[in-house]
Amino acid sequence: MSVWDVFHSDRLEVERGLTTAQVRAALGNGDLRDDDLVRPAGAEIGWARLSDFPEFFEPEPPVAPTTPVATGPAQDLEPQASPSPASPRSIDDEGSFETQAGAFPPVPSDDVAETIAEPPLEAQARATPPLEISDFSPPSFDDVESDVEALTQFNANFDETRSHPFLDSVDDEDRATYLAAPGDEEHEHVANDTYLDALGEARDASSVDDEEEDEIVDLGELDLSLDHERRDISLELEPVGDEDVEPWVDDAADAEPWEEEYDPQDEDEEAAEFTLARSSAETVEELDLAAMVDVAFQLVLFFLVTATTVLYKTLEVPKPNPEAAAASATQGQGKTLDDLQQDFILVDIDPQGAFKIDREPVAAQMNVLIDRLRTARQSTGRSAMLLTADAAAMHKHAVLAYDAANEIGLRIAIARPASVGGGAAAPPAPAVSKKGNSG
Amino acid sequence: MLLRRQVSQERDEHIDMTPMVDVVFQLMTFMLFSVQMTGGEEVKVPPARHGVGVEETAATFISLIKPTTPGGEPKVVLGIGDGPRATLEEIRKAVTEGVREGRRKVVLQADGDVPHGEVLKLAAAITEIEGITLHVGVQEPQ
Repeated sequence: MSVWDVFHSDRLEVERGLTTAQVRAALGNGDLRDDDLVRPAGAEIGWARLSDFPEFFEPEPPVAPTTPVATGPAQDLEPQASPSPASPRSIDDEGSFETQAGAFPPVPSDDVAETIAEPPLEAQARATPPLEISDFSPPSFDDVESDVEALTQFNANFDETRSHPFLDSVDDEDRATYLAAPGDEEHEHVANDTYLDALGEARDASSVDDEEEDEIVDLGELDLSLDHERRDISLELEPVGDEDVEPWVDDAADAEPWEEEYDPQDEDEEAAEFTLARSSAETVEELDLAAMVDVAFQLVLFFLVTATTVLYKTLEVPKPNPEAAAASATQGQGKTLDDLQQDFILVDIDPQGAFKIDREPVAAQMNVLIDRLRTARQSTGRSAMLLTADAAAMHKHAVLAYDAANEIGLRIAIARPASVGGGAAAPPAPAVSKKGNSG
Repeated sequence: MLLRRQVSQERDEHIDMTPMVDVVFQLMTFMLFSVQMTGGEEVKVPPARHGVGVEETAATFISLIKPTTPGGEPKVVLGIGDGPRATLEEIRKAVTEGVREGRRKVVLQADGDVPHGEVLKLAAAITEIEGITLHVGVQEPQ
């Protein structure tokens, strides 16, 4: 009974241990589709599409009425064919399927013998002169070309005139490749996952004897049984008719470089890169510059704000008379304080910081000074202030007098002390000041 | 068909520089603000209600710093704040050059405790240069 492993291409799952009937039933109810892949259970050969096996799509043969069991045994792909004595061995090993229908009870999938279903070419192969292959393994080839010819005949589709579902689906170049003999450099063998291709590669890996390339070797009877436990294709060769044949051993370590284990991915990189899994999205690493732009704008604003508020507050004062006091006196410009008091409001500051306005003591406070100066202006009509501060008086007291005069709009005149600029200690000529700020 | 998948992942490991850039900018901003906040030692000019603002680039500033010892002469410095002592010749030269460059204002940043006579003496020396206007530096009353 043939057991199959099925690969569901829609959900990427492998379902193992299905019988032929189960496969047919799944096809019938839509669980399996033509695009799904199938291969003999436990086999390591490549997958093949269900559509390449038209036998799966045929209805099950009717169960014989004498069969006691409810469900008949799994039918072979070619139930109607009677295997000839020289034909390749069927899956059930003996006789026709019809005669064996019902003879075997249903076998659980774990106990079933690993067998490989008769390839779909079986029917066509029987129409041709039968070939004898003793084992489902690379036959014992003594001569590559003769063995190729035998294998070609066995597979039956290496004849270009014959039609085969698989070869019909490929283009002419690939078709010629499958039909090409080893050593044909024009048609390099294309990697393919069909078991036909595996057979072809196994053929290439075998030893080649050029001297016997014309000899036709009887390949014996095909034995499609596989060791379920080992799950490997038996590569043991049985010498047929020639003791000089070297057994083909699946030992890559001892093989010649050109006899290394076939890897389809070595020949077809595009096929090797093919995968049904979803590729991860490419992530592009980028540097986020938003934070740096924000900080740069902050720096710009800072410099804009701080670059326009640097001003120094100043009070404009009259320039003192550069001439010495004595020189002024000799020119007839000397005046007494009484004379000056008629034109100016006299403000005197001693070294201790005491104020006198018109020779009357005043507290050194801004408001008091303002009131006294305003009263003096209103009572006498004088509009100018003459500051006569001692040389030892502090600068801040002089600035206070300046500020009080600017508060009510008096003009400011500064009398140079006697100790400043040399000369006699005489009342200096007041320097004409600019009009102060109006109060 | 299900083929053997060739898994090849290039591990792109790199250090994200964004946080380090942010920290560097923060440090630079902090340094800029801290330098502006402290400022330098300026002259303690007397307060006044009235006054006009003069830009630093529009006038020649002369600072008079009070003497460290009582009775000593004040320190005359060109510019604002403390610095090397300047002679009258250097001051006249600076003022003359300022007038030539269009800076006709001369601001005397005199400390409040400097004697009034020293301020007038300096002012008399500067007044010899024509075309200038004399100002005394003040500050806002507290």
